[in-house]
Amino acid sequence: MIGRRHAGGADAMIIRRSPIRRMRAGRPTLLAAMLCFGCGGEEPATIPVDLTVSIAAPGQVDPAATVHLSVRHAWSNTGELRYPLEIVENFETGLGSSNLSFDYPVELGEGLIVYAWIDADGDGVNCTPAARGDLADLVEVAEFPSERLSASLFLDAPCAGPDWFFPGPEPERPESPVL
Amino acid sequence: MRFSSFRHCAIPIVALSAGAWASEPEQMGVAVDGERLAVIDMHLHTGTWAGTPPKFRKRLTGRVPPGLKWTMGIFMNSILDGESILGTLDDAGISAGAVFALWSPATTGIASNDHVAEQVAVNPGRLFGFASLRVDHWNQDGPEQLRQMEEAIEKHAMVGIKLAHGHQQVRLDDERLYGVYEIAARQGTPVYLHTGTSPNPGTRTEPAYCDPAYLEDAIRRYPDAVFILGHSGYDSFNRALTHTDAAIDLAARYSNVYLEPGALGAERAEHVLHDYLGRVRAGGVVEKLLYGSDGPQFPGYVKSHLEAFVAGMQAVGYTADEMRLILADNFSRVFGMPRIVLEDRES
Repeated sequence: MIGRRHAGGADAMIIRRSPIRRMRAGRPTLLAAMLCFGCGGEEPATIPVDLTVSIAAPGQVDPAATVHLSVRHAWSNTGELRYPLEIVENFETGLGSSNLSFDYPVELGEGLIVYAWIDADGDGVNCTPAARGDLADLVEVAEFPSERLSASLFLDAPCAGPDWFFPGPEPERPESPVL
Repeated sequence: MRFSSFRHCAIPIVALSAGAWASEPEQMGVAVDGERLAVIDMHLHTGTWAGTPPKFRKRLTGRVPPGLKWTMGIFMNSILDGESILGTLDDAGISAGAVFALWSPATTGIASNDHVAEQVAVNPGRLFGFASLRVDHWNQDGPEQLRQMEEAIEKHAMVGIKLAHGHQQVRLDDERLYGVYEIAARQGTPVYLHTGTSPNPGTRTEPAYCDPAYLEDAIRRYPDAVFILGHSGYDSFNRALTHTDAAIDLAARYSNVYLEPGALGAERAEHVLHDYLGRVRAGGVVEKLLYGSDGPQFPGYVKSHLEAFVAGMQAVGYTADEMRLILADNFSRVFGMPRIVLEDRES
């Protein structure tokens, strides 16, 4: 397959260098002179959060399967650079109820998202091109900010990353996977 | 105070710039077996400091002395504009280059389609624009993003589309983006997709975001769309060829799949370059490899990447004809452009 947008009649073209050499072309060299030594960073301000999360999945899923859970900012940055779902912390847990504790960096974003997927086939990845049975869900914790929170997830969306759900509305899901 | 500091730096700036001029090659192209081969670098970036997220700014300025950090924005805005990119190509003897738009606010930042068009307009005979689109509000504005991207391609005569799933935080097998490939097929606009990992903060490193095998369904469904697998699946974060065989396999099996080796000529990858080039040759996909560097990055990077890549091809035993294909002719063929013929210096 050949790109067609610029297909033209000519068989060859001659390209010449820029007629006037610019001082600007040498500017990159300045960077090398500037990269001399480093500086320390400051730890961001945090609030401690205790999260009780209840996780369920369809009945055919192995109840002992590992659940990979992440807590995230709903939004980070401002203006055009504002984006969703920055990770705050990752956890491994299981189906049922779990208590999780983490420090929420208040200056690095706003809101709280809980996303999780279950490794139904135990291969360590959220679906492969051939194995499509891992399931996910996401919830935005409306009560945040608060130091004690709870959330419930029902993992039933196959092969879905967090951006599948948020910001919503969640799209129509593919057909149920064969586990 | 700032003005005073800037004046203090003026003399070193002039001295260093003069030093850069001295390294300019005598002719365009690279010398191989007594002849000069034209080069197209299909992977170049533009951007602005304002479009750079705080985390990425921190990485860029991490080793800059505290008193000089304020200069980074000025510096970045100038190094990544169209004129400077042309100067970088001249310094390396490269005839032409493709400049990518970016919509990765969570990682490497934003370079809008309009911004790319402005930089390419400096010399549209040598710089070719690739459009991109925002995907992180897709459930709300996906169709509008597709419309805007298609409009930008038409309006600015852009030649390709750039996606970077790992930077843009979306899975390679996400069917919601199939509309991009539908446009690519309909317009005849090749799609460049970043594959493999990246050392940039916030980039997704799980297989679903890096392994090109996750693209196979889309490749099969859109046989009229050209898929260029950026970095050939190079796992830059771990400095390993983790997903390279998957990329080569797709290029070998599908007529609409090509490869690009960006960053494999970097010093960071020198321990895998010969292995990579050997795998490309053994896989029978020399005619599918389109040269790119992922520059400008830092001073001298584009030139050193090219030199290392050519030296690697020579060391592995590539013929001049094979190098000619990789360095320029494969790009010209895939993008439907005329072959580049180097001008005789005497004329």
